[in-house]
Amino acid sequence: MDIVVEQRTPATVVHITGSVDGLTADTLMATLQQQIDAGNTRLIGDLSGVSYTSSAGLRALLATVKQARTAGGDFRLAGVLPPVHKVLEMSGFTTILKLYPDVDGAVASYPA
Amino acid sequence: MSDEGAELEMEEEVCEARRERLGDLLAFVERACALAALDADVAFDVRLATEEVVTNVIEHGYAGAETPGPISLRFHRDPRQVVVTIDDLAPPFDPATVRPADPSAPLEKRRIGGLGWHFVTRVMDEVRHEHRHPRGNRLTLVKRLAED
Repeated sequence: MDIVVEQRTPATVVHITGSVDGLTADTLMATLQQQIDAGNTRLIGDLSGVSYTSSAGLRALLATVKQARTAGGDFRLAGVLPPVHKVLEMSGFTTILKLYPDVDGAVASYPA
Repeated sequence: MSDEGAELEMEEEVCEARRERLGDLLAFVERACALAALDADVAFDVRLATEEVVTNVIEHGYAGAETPGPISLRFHRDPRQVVVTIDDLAPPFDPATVRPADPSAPLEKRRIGGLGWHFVTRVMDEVRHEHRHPRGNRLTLVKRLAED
């Protein structure tokens, strides 16, 4: 899994590529946590390069959305691929997290 | 070996059920899915269910034990189905005691975790649990393959 963080005012985009599984979820969690700690609470997870996730990955997403909202921001997802969308749906996360077709749409969803 | 409908029996992967070995176990199932030439959707489900079960054994199976015992993983594909078998020597696991996940719970009530077993039963066609003698558990995960 690779992670690239990009500031796209007014949001912070975390581009994730690869598998978010039991081996990589902690790294993702730590990266997202760092952003929240730095005050970047308007977060976007770009999942257009993520082909696999398990409950370990969802744990990281859930913890992040809780913390971001507590801090007055949010954690929104962009470009979710069908297999990952299925996992989000099975867990009911599609009703908790806001999903956008692409990063541009997710950035535009935050008030400037 | 990758011919459509071919039989595939992977050599067993056996190791100590500790977190450091999760990578080997996940690599085994990924390799098996590739060698068995499974459709991407089927491979995804098999990989997901196996990761959830293996993680469960590592994190909870040997909880309280001084050193974790073994976990073994087997993969078999025939023209009709994929069968993944996970054995351990841990205290008895009773699937009936797993607290069901509630996919409709609001954010505030969501527990971190608790979803793994829910995924296993959702994505596989059959999930069988047996107590092994004199001790241990066997979980058999079956995914049926669509007929052409």
